[in-house]
Amino acid sequence: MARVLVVDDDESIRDFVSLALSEEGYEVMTAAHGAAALNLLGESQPDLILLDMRMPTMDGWEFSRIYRSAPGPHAPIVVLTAARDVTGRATQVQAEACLGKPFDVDELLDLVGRYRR
Amino acid sequence: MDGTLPGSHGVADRPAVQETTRRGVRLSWPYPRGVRSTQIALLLTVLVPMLMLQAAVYYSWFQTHRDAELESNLELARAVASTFEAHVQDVLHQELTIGLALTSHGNLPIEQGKILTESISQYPAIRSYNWLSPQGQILASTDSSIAGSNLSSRPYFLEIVRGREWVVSDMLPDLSSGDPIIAVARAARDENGALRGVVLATVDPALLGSAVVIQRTGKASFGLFDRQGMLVYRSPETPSWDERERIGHDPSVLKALAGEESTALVAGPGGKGRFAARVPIPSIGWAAGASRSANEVMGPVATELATYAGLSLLVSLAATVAALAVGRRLTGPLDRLRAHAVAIGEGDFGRAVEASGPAELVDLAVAFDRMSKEVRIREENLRKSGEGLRFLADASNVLAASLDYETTLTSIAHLSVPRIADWCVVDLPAEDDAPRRVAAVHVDPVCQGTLRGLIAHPIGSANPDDPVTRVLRSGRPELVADVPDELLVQIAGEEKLVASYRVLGLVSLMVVPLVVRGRTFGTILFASGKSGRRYDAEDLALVELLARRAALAMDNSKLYGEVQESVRMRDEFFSVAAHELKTPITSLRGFAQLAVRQLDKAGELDPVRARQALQVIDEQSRKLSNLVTQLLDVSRLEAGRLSLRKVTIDLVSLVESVVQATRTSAGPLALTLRAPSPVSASVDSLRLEQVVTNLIDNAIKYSPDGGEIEVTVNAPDEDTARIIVRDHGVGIPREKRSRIFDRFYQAHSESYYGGMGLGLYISREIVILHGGKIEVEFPEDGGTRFVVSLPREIEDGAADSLDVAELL
Repeated sequence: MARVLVVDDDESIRDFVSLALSEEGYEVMTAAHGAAALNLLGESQPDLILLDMRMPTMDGWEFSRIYRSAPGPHAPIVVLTAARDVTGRATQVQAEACLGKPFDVDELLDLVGRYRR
Repeated sequence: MDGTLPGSHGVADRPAVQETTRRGVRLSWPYPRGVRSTQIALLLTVLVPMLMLQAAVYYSWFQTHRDAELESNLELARAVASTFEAHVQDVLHQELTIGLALTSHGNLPIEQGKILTESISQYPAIRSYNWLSPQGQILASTDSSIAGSNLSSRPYFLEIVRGREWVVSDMLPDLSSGDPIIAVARAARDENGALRGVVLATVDPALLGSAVVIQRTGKASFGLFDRQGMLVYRSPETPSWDERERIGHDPSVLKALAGEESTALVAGPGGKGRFAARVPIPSIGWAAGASRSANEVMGPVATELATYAGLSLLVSLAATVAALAVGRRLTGPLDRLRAHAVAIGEGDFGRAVEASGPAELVDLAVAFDRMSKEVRIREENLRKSGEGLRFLADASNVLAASLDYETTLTSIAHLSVPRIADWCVVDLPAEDDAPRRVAAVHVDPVCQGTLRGLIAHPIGSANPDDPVTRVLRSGRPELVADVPDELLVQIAGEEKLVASYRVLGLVSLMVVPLVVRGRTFGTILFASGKSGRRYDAEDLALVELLARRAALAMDNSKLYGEVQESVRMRDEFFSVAAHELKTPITSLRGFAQLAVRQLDKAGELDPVRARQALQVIDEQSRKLSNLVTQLLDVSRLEAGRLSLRKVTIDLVSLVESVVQATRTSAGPLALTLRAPSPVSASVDSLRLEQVVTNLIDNAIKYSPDGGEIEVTVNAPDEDTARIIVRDHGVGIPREKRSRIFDRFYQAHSESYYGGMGLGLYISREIVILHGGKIEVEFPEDGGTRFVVSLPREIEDGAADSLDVAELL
């Protein structure tokens, strides 16, 4: 069983991703922005972080900077973005992989599956 | 005159050639070009023929005199010839008589001697009479010493013997004395012609003067030549033997002996010339001559001629000198003018033309001086305008080099120092209209620091009446040719800054506005200090041109910046719009695919799951639809095709329905509506709903930490309706407030509140289409307050009652 943290400001995307993953047996945590995600990370460590970039309050860039500067093991980050330059965004935050919106359920599950323990 | 400039000769050498060439008449070398050479040529053409004519006249006069003299000599010679001939005839006649007497009176010598002696006294020149036998023996003689001599061998006797009647001999020596004599012999014949004897007279040539008495003029001399050419007799001087020989052999004498008259200039005693005439005496075979000293004859004539010639030469000389003097009076000023022209050609305007000489030349000199001054002024203007053009060209290059506003202005300031000014500052009014100095350059690096130090106290900040402030206000350039001390103090504003301005130096100044499209957005101040330069209207015109170009360049760079910004905003908009569109699509596809997966796995769809999926699909497609509507609205607005369908409704109920609809998304936020009474207005209800929805959505969106949202509808007066949306959210940063109604603009784009940045733009356009306005206020306690004012446009009271009826 693996734990996935989904960080996205769009509620319906959070719903869709957590539904798709939980049906496959993942344990899913969700946060509406970076700051909320950092709060959750204080409680439990995910195995993978799915991160949106453009979010109010704290965006993806800020989140990953703070997350990586914190001590301890770091979960791989997969960027979910609607931006044109998807891989560019991934590189900016040193993400393991990226997924451009809109994406298919199969694509999402394939990608997350690769990081299953 | 010549030699004032080395290597230049003749008054008008080059100019004359150029002048004539320009007229197409090329005059070549022999044509005199200068005034002096022209004069000399004129003098020569007058004087030479005159002198030649005179010479010709004198020559002919001389000729006439000479001819007359020769003629008179000829006459004299002829007279001598005929007189001598007559004398000889007389002697011959006497001899005939003697011969007849001697032959008829027997041959007694005593008787013969007596006859001869009786005859002799008649002619003084006859030295002796002799009676010769046919054999040549002297039978009787008046000279007893020679009686008995035989003369038969003498040529004249031989001639007589040969049959000649009489003979005059050549000069020969006397038998007794040896003196020169001539013999006149005549034959005495009987009836049969036989020679009976010869009468012979010996004539002393020296005494011929008594026989040949001739009236003569002056010192003329005349003489007789025998057949041998020997000068037998000369009057008044008896010739020496040498002369007898020499003169007689003159060709003219030989010519006369040959029977021809002639005249000649012969050499007299001492080699002096004599006019001579020779005539033949054919009966005797002799020649007669007359001559006169040429000197004696022509002397007075020559003297007279010399006097006349001298006088005319003197007159000619005087004329020449006078002409040259007049020429000099012309050429002197002309030379000075030429030297002056050359000096001007070499750029030396320093000299003044000396106005002297004839009135015309004085006029010319004055005109020339005026021209030279005019040329100087024009050259100066040309130089200035050339410098101005170069300056403007350089400025254009500088202006074209950068699109950056302040870099450009600094470059202009650097360019102006020191060419136009000793120091130069550029002031732009800042946001709050306070002058802000963007560039300051001083020619002296030491003063540069002082000038920079004054940046904190820009000109114009201290005194509203100083030149910079005035120009900023009026938009008209100002020129202060001489800065009085009061003005310096005024410009400095503060007492302690006066010293600084004195260090900078302020003698003269110009302030020009930077104007674009009638708006003054800055000034450039040009000041002269240490150079002491005083600005004039031309300088001002030049810097005005510069300022105009600078202003245009700055406007261009500003427009360029705006274009860049709008391109950047458009890019940003597309990126945001794509993001906004992709987000709902992601959920749409996600839930649809999840439903399909479940159907594939379970063969049926869980109703709860199905409902959730369909609800998400509904919500997200509505979101998409709204986004698309917004895009279409922008497109319509930009094309001017958004039209309103106005009806009179109650705004309160319209706003209330919107509030109700948005309350769900407001979540925990308190959303209140204050509408004390119905407010009817003529509006497009759908469009106005869009505006109100947008304003409330924004209020909710930008109140992430909660806070009350108040919506108010009222009518401040009969004609106006107001809808006010007040939130207590994040507000809008000061620097972004002016742009929130711009297309694609998101004041919080970096915070990703969502949306495409079109809402306020569309709202404002809709309100404007209604003839109203939308304003935003930022209350002290935070948040924002949007106020929409609309004209109510109600015909009469009917609308109110209608709305009230609807409400009921």
